Amino acid sequence: MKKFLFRSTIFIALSFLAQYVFYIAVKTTLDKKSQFRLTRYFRSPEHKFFVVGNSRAVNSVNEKYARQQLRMDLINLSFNGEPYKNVLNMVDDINSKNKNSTIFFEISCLSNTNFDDEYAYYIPNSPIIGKEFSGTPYDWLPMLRLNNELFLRNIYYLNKSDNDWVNRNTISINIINHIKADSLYTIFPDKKVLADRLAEVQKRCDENGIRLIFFLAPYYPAYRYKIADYDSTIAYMGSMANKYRFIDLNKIKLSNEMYADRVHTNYKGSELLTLNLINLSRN
Amino acid sequence: MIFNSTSFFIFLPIFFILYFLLIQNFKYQNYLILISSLFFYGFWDYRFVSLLLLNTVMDYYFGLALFGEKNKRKKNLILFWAIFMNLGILFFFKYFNFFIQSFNTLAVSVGFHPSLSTLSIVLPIGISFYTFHSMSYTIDVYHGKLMPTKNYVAYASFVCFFPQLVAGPISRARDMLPKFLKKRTIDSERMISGISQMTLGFFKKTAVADSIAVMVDTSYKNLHFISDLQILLTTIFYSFQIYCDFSGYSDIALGLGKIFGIEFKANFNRPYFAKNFSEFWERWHISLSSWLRDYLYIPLGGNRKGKLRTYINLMITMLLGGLWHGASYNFVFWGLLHGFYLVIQRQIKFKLPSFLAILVTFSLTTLTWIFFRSQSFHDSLYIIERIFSLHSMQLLNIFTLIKIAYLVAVLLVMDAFFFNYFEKNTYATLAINIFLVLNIILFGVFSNTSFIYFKF
Repeated sequence: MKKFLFRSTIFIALSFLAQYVFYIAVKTTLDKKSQFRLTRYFRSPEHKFFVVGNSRAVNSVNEKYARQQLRMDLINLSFNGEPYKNVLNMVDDINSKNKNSTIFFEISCLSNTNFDDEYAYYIPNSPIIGKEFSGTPYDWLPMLRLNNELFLRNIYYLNKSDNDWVNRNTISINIINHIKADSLYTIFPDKKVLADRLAEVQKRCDENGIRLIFFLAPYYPAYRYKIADYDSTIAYMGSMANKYRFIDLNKIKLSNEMYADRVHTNYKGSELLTLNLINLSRN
Repeated sequence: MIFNSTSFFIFLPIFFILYFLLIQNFKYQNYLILISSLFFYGFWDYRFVSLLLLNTVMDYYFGLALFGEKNKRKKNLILFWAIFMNLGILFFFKYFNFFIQSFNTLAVSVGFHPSLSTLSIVLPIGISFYTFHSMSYTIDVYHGKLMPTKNYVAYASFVCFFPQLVAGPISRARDMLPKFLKKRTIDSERMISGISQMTLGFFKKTAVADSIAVMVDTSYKNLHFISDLQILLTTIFYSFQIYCDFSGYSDIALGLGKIFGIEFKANFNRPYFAKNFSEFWERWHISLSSWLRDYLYIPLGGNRKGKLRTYINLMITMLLGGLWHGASYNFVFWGLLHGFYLVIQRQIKFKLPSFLAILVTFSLTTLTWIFFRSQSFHDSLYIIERIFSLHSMQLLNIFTLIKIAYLVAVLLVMDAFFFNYFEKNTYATLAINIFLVLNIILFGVFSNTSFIYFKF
């Protein structure tokens, strides 16, 4: 029995040590070499325009297009599947380092839908995000922080730039055909949650002199008609116009070829949307 | 309680300490096993603990009655009642609604309108497994292959032993019961081997199976919105998901058995390296396939009564094997398809090169998993149609696919070159274990996901 307990303890201790060494080695390499924007979380304090949100924000605002065609120092910090909590942390981080900048905030993440926690644990470089996992297994089992899509994207972007990682697919005929069969659904099932979260984000930005612009990325039109609360959401945002700046990108007419699927635009769509978002925000 | 849950990681060390404190007295250990196993089971739903106990009491007394009876006719009658009661309970909880619905559908199709209504029945977890544990006991006692025990606690401990209780392996009483009737030994080498096998099991479950599950579940929920290529990849990867989910569970159970000195027989032997379907069934869920062979196929006549009868026996065995998995026409068809493969295989005279034979067997097996996984027969046919049309090629998330491809590659390398590595306790074993732990931390899904075979 002693031998069993001794060997088991050695196994656990070595595993613990190995994961620590592995984490440090991998993180150091990625921090130095990966071209993925969130690797070094993320930027210089000089950036003036930010986009935050989940995948709908990733695929609707094209950073490369904004920089090259519109000559704007814009950085899109959105990430797939981000829940509200993570996006709020990101806003806090921008607030702490990039005062007097502008944030374009895609509001889909304000819904009380549960998304995966994709990035928070990977990025301890930010004290605001780091505090999220203080006292959790992510603290003493650091390799767990790499267990997410962000880590895989970092690996992928070791030797290439990530400034055009927008979806390049085009919506398939299958999806279009089946949208008709979709039942009605709601994007913001709890309007109070939406109201509270809008207020919270606005408050945090006001405190730091950040110019905040909320926007809603487009849905494929046939699919948008299935959103039971789309009109009421837009009406609500309209009624709050004195409090919040809001742009509904669903008003921009996009062709079928500009959608990747029901809820995401593709590269082509993102260029047109970026142009319109920037123009509308100047009005 | 499931193996990959926090509660189990609290439960296990407590059981471990108590178990080895009682090492000098196996009778007290049996009490501990029984109480702990009932707690383990009751943690899921305490209401069904009584059903589990009823099952043990019933077969315990059927065993004693069978042994005491010399009259062949009465003995047959006792066996009949033992099987009737066991299968009756199983039928009620698992198949009652299925047969009522099927009857209603059939009646409506011929112009009747019966008013038979279904019941709201919760399926007790693992009922198919512990029913088969118990039935093997009474059948073996009937055939004189096993002396019935007069130690109820030992018998109940065998049936309820928590590592095998809810998802097997389906142990034979004649192999396992003797282990509950004598003092267990401490063997450090065997116990360390158990830890290694558990590590492999957790890798298969949390890293491979659960990573694939995320992709497979998303794809199956959005069948009409994803591309043909995505459907094809989902189908292929599901083969690995179900293998890793179930063989992972078996590895954890076998590892626990080794630690506690109650060893089980292997339940998987690299099934996807099988060169034909007979071989596949000698490698996949071995405890079920050998159970069906010994208690169903051979009593039906096996291959001793001519070709036609052999084919019929194969089809019946596989059909019931399919139905054992669940009350649905999809499982029935899955079983029949495997039966059909076995029949066809007997007609084929030529031999394919090994690699090609493995590929063909794997591909045809993968086809059957579509029926196993789909929600309906209609969905299964839709998936097959899409796979064979293969027009659209968009992929949902390339990173998830790359991760899964890597994990499946690790699994195949493990199976091909390091199969049963855990049998030896060397530095290489330690290195492999650490490698697997790192993969679990890096790629594991830690959301207490249940094992697929729990629902059977």
